[in-house]
Amino acid sequence: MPRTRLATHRLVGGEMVPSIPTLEEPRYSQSLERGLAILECFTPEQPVWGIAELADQLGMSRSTTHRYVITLVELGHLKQGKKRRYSLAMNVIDLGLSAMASTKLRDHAQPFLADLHRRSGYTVVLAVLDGPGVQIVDSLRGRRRGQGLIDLSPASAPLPVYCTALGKLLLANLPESEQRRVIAELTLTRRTPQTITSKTALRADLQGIRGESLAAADEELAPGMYSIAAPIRTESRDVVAAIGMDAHASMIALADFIGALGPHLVATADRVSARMGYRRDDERHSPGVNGVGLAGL
Amino acid sequence: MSKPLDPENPGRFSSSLVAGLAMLTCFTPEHPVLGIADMADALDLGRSTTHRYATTLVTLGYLEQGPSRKYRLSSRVSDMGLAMLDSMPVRQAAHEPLRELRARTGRTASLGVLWGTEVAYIDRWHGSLQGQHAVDEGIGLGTRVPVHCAAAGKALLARLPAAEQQALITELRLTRRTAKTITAKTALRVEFERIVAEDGVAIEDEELSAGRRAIAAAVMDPEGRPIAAVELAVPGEAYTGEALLGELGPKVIVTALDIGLALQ
Repeated sequence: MPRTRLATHRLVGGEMVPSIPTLEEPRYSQSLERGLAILECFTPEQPVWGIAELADQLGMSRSTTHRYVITLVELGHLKQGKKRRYSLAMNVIDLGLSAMASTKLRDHAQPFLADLHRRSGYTVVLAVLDGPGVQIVDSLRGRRRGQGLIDLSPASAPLPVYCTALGKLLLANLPESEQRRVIAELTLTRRTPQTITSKTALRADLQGIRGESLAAADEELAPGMYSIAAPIRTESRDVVAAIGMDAHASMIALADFIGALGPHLVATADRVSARMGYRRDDERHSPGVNGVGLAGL
Repeated sequence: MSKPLDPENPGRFSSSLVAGLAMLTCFTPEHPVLGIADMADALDLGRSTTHRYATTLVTLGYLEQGPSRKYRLSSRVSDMGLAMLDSMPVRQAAHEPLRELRARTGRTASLGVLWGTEVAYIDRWHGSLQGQHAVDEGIGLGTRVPVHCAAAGKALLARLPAAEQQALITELRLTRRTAKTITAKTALRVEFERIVAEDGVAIEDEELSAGRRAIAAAVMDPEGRPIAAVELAVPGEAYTGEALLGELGPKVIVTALDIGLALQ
């Protein structure tokens, strides 16, 4: 593998200065940085670029820009169109497909769940909705007293949707027609005096949860068991999963549980959502290389 | 991919860029976490060179290093991947119609495109009705599956111009995924004739995985070429026999038509 050729200049504090030779910077490939920065210029808003425009945008010389662009053309990531202007080509989609396919919900969530589990000591659960049941995808068992009340492992039977924080949160965020179908097939069995047993009351409860960042269940599944849940969203804003925690009434009051752990649970869910490609409206444009905007989603 | 693109003139292209991009594609669903040695082997590069590119990608925010010192793709790569998928007009046109299809059926609605001898899912809305989780396991945005096993693949292939269809069939290796996978080319051609006769609706009956059934129809572009397919995947026990075709067939056809019209 030949040594990287040098980019000629770089933008430092608004000034063009000669780039630092690669030999003095053995751990950094500026070519790679520049090439990726070029790729990220191509957005749905601005899908076509000329060499001069790219060079100006990235503060690079035209000859350097040209070299990276022809490399990207040769690799099939860019294609040349009319008037020597360039746009994304098929192989870039290949890169996109690989990037998306190699990132699965459970893998995304795992480090964040582990972190929350380690810091809180509570059982942390990742789950998805499957009809009338909540299917647990991953869980880390807490070490606190009262945590083993309900089996929350991926191998356990699905949890009921109407009396758990996870279930109510996922159900609340379904499209209306899908929610109606799930509710129509539910049998609301009284598990504790607090269990919601009327469909009207359930719908009212779900109305309050929809769109919220946290849901709670107050001894609705089992006596003494509190649970809270927060949504995980994807790039399309769809709620595809939820993470939850539970606590025993003998250890903590529900309000304190929500107050103390809720923000951490929501923050963890937000981090997983970010990994899934979800962006809130106020963060749809994150800064890219050298302050170049990331491709708008 | 790490070899100079032009051996006569190695300086013409940036080999660092070539290697760095290749490094991003080393990460797969099966191997989401990789060490320097894994990447060096996959790319046929020296370890110090590999380390240098990995460090660069970490600095740029494309890779993350976990407690084990191994690497994984960062959310920035998913962002870039999404931006790349979003550059496909058919994905943009399909997004809302697919969302509606999912909402109306409660089942997982996907958009598949032909990708070599595979079908790649470039948009996906997860349904939540009972049994869906097991059916969708392992298939997500960006997943590729062999074209002959999936409803979307069969729907696309069936509508290709004859010469192209023939050329692609020649290339196919009909690997068996389940006992019901079509593994003979003659049987596949018969299947395509049946799909065309059925208004272009393709049925997949546990051919990709046990317990999964699916139904798909191709999206035709203004020139009359199949450029994508709308697919609904369902648990086999929820839609037995004709229920799949009768209940979901018309919805899939209408969705595919809507997307095609939006492309005009």
